[in-house]
Amino acid sequence: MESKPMKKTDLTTDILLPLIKQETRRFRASLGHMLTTGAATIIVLSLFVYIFGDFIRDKLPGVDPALARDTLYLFAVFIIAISAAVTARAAKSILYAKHGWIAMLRTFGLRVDRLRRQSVSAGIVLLATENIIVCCLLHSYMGGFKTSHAVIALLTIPSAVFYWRVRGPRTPAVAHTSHHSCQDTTKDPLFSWRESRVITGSWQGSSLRVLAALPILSGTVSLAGHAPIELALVSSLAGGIILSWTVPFLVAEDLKATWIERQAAVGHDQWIGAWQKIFWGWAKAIFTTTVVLYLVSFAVIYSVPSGASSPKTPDILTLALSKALLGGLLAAFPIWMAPAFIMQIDGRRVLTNIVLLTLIGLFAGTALIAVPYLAPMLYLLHREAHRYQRGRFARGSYN
Amino acid sequence: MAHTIETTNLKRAWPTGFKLGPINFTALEGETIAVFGKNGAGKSTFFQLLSGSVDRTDGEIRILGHKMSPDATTLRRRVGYLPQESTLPDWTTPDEILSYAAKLLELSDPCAAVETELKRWDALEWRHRPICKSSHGMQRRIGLAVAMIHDPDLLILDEPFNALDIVNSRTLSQLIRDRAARHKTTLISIHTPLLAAELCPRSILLENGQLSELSAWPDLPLLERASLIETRFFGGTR
Repeated sequence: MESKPMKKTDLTTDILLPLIKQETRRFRASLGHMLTTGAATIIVLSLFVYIFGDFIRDKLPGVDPALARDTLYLFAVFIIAISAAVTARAAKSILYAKHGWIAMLRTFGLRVDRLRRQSVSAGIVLLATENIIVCCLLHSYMGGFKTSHAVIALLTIPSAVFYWRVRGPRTPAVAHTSHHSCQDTTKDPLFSWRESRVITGSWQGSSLRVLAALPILSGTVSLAGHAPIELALVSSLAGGIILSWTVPFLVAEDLKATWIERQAAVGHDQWIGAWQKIFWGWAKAIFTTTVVLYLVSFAVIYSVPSGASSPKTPDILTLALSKALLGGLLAAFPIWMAPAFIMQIDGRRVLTNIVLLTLIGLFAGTALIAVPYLAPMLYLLHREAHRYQRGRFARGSYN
Repeated sequence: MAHTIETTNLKRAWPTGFKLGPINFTALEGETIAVFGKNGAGKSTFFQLLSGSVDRTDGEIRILGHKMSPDATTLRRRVGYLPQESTLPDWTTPDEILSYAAKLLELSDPCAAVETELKRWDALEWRHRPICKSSHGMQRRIGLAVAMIHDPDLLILDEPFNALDIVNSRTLSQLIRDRAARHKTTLISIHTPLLAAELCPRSILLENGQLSELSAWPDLPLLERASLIETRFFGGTR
């Protein structure tokens, strides 16, 4: 019997069309959730601008224009990188998932080299689409930048991020063994199990820790170079919020295999308590580091004579210490608060939780910068949030 | 004999529209019960409710004479549950997972329990190998070991024979028989009528969220039991 020649794959009909259909179905299935999250985000952001708009408008004119431009540059780079990472994540799940289209087409016996070429084409299409969306979003905002800078940024950053994220199936998020053994005499296995996996295992956790250190360091360094204190405080808050993004990644990874804990009758309070204990440790570490950095910056300001007159009043020490403590608090509170909010919607939804934590960080952080005496409110917010999500771990449909 | 499981008008509704129940069901001490049903009939939901993994919408569940709920910590530790998708954490080893489970369950001698389970499931050689580098069958065996490490009074197994090789299938069958001999109750979701006929003196059927007893099953010889299931699913006379 004569065998038919193997059909060549077609980029449009075999890959792009099914992908678009798949994504449309996924979009339709989560439309309600997305609309609710989107509407809530817009409401909370509008509220944020309404409440803190005057305060922000009052403080921004004091910032040096060159410094403001550099900060906007950094922010644009950050937005481009993050959006590329989000697109790459989607592309990776489509292209490399065990039950994805590419895997399925491979089982049909289609030629691997051709599939690979067409996967790259599909990746380029996704990347171009993402770039167009980012360009539209940042159009008015990036108008002040040089065209050549904007073009280089839009060509290089997403490509680099995309390549890094989509280059192929890699090790899972938690990539090291936890070195537990039955002979360990730990009193809190829930905590030690997570701690060993968090500290040594997660590449997302490690990347975000490095990313969070950048704004905190640049803020305090710019403070030493006589930049306004508000800029340093906002940088600390940004660092704190970025660090808190670690929590959604780790918790989502953890929830993939919680049946072991659930069948051992571990309740919500114990489970979330273990995470809270870990991030309380992180919060203490980032608080101490940030306070020390601020104090060093203040020491530089007041010990090195500058052209501008330094405020050499007797209460300089009090002022420096209070600002350093505020900076430390801004950097530390988002990660401390994160476990209290992580199960409010769905612990498995990383992006939703990142948005949620960012909004909470923005709200509470700006309020703290405006009125530092509001700090005790954080405790109340934390306590109430924990109370509101109680039982979600034990009652959810997590595996 | 005492009741191990007793449900009264048990109901559970999911946001997707699927409804389970009302279910009135009892299982006696030492019984081994096969649960049949098509995919999506509600077997996993029923098992999650019995093990306290999810909360009921209505009705009551009593396990070993006590009310079962997700908060019934002490009671839940007397139940072992292997879900259908027993995903294990990546890059951990069988030794670590079993040690962790033993410590969570506060076993008096965790090392002995870990050794027993590794030996029983023929995993001693693989004990320090990352789980994501192991076969699907090995992962299933470690899942079974986690569910059984504390020798629970009630064991609920959701499709436990999936991915098991012939040797380990026999190990599991023998364990289930041993449990029955020690008056411990076991509920198994199963899709192989002959295996169920051999292992389970009683069987129930879940269809569209409703439970019915296969009342003729206990009195039938082995092959007739399998034929009863064939008839229920594919029609014809018996």
